[in-house]
Amino acid sequence: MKTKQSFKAIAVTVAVSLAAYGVANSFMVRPVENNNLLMENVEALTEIKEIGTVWYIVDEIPCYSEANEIMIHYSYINCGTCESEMGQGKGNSGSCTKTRKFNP
Amino acid sequence: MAKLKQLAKAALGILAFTTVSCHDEGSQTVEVFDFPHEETLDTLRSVTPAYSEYLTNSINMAGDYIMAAVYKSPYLFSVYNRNYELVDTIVPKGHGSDEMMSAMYFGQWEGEVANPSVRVFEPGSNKFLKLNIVPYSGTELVGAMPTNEDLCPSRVLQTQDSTLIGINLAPGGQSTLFRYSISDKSLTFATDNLTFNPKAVFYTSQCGLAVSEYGEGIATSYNSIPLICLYDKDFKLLKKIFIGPEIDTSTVKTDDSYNGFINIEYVGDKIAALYMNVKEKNSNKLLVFDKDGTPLASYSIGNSIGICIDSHSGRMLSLVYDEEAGLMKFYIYNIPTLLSQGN
Repeated sequence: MKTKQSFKAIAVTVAVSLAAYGVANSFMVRPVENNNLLMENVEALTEIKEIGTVWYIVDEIPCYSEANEIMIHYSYINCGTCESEMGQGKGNSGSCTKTRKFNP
Repeated sequence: MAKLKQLAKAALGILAFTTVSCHDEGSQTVEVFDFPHEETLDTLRSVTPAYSEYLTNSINMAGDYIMAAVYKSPYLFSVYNRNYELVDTIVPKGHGSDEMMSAMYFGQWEGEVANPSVRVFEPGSNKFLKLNIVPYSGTELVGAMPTNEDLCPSRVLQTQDSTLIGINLAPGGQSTLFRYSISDKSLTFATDNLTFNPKAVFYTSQCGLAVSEYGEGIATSYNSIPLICLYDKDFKLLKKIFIGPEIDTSTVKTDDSYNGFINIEYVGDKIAALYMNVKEKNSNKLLVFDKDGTPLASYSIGNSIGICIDSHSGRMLSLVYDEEAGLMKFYIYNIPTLLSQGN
């Protein structure tokens, strides 16, 4: 029953994502190791997209426009570069996308 | 009478923490609400050091010297003597010989106290290097880890057997312990023991790292959650220690405002962690545990955002950022007896 629900969630997410997906600023591609990982995370995923024959999981990662740079025990994603930098993120936030390859 | 009061407080403190065993993970979860010993530390004096407008909150001893990471500077570190006088600014920022774009120093050094050789990690190249600081004599490679998008260490420490242990924090990913063998070039990641919200995991899983002197104990402290985790040398999670009630890490969001830890380190056979109270100003604490995670003491330490423990001199240096002046100040304390050598 749980598997059925998960597949239903995937189908809904895929449908929404294929309709809404635009140009993503993808800065990382990482293969997903197994189906269980997808099942565990499916409800939290933002989008799933098929490019050619390959499925990608697209996560939205919060980013910050500036940071408190003296706090270098922290890291943040810089919205301008979508790169990880040292510092505690602050100011206007947005999101960067991360794609992970998934072969069902 | 005073002693009786202390004993009563200690007893209450011991009664105040609750232990919940989690058999499925084979680890123990502990909630700490009180410490057997609580004290407000008195400042001996404060110093505004040279180059203070460039100081970050990362500061560590290196032999007779204090090495501080700096920002917005053509150099990566400033070096002070025990009188808090600037000795040198070292490691030019750049891509040339003996230059680096970024480097992290986590307090590991060797050699003579007057001429220490420190270990630093260079992000990007994933190189672990050693360099002499007084005078600065350039870098020498200790070990080079693979460079790929999945390996982005945020902390790296070298253990006695020439193994590197670190925290990997790939963009968008979860902080994960790893081990790299310099000799056989093998890389091993720990199994993630904690579950985080995938949308927030990059921020909510960020943690500091401490490794005991012989590498048999590993501790992590979370920046955005009041949680310390203790592991054995094989990355088996032994204990989760929450300051206050247990928090379900999978529900923590980026804009939640839980208290957390700035940093953690082993001091002899004790664990010291700088706890940041985000809900109340001037209420940060230095929390001390034994190596098994038993709470021992809580020291109130004002607005400290960085700690440097100098066992040799018996002094402890705390970093406090003066927002109005835009510079960092050193606040000097005596080391609490519990953290003194031999205790």
